[in-house]
Amino acid sequence: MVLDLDACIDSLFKRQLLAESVIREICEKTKELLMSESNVVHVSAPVTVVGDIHGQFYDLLEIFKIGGYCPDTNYLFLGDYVDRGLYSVETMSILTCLKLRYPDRVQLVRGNHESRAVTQTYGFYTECMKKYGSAQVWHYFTDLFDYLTLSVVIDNMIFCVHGGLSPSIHTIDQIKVMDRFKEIPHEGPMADLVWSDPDPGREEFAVSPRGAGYTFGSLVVEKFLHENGMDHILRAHQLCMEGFQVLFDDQLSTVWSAPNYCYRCGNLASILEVGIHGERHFNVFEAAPENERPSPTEAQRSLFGSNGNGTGTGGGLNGGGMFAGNGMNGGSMAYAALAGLDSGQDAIHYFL
Amino acid sequence: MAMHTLIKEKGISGINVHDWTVLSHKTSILNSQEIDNATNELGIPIPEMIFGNNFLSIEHKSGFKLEFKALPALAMVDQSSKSSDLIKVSYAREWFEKRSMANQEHITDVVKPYDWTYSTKYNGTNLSTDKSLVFSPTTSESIDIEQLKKPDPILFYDENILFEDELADNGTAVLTTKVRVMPSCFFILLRFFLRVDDVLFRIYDTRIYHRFGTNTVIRECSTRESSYRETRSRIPRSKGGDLSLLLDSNWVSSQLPEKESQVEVLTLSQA
Repeated sequence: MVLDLDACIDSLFKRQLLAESVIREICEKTKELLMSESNVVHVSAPVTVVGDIHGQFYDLLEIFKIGGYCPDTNYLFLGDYVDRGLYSVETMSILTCLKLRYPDRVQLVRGNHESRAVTQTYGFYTECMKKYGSAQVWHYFTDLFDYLTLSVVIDNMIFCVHGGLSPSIHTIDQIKVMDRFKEIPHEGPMADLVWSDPDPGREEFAVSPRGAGYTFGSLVVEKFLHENGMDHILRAHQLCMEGFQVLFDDQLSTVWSAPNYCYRCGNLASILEVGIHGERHFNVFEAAPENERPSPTEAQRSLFGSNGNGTGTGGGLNGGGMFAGNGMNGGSMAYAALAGLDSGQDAIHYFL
Repeated sequence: MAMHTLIKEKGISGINVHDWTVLSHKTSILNSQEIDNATNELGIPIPEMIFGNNFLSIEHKSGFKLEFKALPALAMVDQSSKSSDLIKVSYAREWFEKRSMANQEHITDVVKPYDWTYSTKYNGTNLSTDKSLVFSPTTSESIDIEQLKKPDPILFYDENILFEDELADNGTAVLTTKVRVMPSCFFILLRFFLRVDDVLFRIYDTRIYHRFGTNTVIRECSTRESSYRETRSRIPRSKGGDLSLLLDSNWVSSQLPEKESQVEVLTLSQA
């Protein structure tokens, strides 16, 4: 079978999942493609920059509607494609297809959620299990994550990364020589690039009270830009009500592209359009109508490809009797009596 | 059936029943100006998802009023000098060791210490006009669990998130309210739920119960805590590698041992 990418893209736009075997093939081919990409990909404006999406597929479709479709618009995605939202599989599927179809017009940077460890807890793994009935698709995508690039430079002027700067990195060349083809480590420059946050109240790096990770201040930004002859840092990673935030005297921007994050934050989102003269325009948008009324049942619906089977949602999602005792009563365990009945409406309403 | 009227306005839902008004207000997260103000006021970084304008309130004709809001809850987060040393993320030691090897030790500037897990024993803000309306410890009263287990009709139900933070993907800290009003009583659960991956689980619950026709409001506060490993080991084997049960505070709650609990009672003056 010859892979027909346009057909894949079409069916994803129609909200149809790809077959597991197709995803495997697409991921394999995309890995080959990404392997030859540098840790710092250079692109030219005009380009439209997209921040965190977090599985909000309907809002991603809205982004294409607002920002233009591929390949008419060049896109740079800054990571965090998966987890939290209900449609991480659809989001990753379409972004991977678009990257493979238009490799020079679509750039995918790695975010901290593009990791095995994080996706196991925050939804992507569970979603793959529900929609495909096995973890294979999760394996294909998380293996692909290891190949995503870490940063992009636009016209030698704008440095783009998911999280921020690292005390171990002073020059772009230092990023170029890193070994990125691995799970995101807990520490070191690769972790910093996808994790760190700016702190407008500071000048230097500071250690987070969590005991790991950095924040970086105004002087750090200034030094980095000066050293590398650039004039702006563009990153994602942080939710903001307005959909974007500009800090440090216009030297750093945060772009956030998941409106009404987690279907409840009520925040705006934006995409950042960088023009041919380096001008930056935030195109702010609200949640897609489908976002307003997320339907978990729809999310769990069997959107299987041709080889799909309908058993994915089976295990564990049942309520049983409203007050099925399972032996717990009295004393301090009284309030736990309803635990395990976590799905039925009744169990939700009759919380203890 | 009790006489009641439901309230439904923009962002607000609630119920008037007997001499009580229960209101839940839900709106978007704070904007950056509000966050700046709150940060300055509280002196700590604000959780990622901060629903600072959301609230749940209960009010009785007699002037008793109890409200649940995010910022007063965050004001109770520990900011003492040792507060950030109590819990570290699972890889903190490795992080610091590797960091020394990479010659980054010159960065000694640590963000002002605070309990970054946002653990808070907040149990509501008493806004009663009558200052004598306060909760005091009791051993003779407790919440009538059997009553609450009855599948009586629910006149009003609501769940409201006050704040939530993923702890930079090291877990979750979330403060929520739930309320249900039945013909004979109402019941509120304010829950602080904490998961630090590979470290621990913690739940601080506050439950409020009132049986209509009585003149007492009962408040029960409890703390539960256990290690991550112990809790994870309780996931049924049939779940395989699926850790999503660990996201379900009800399931986790049923697995955590109770460490402390306290019951208080407030006596309403005659309306």
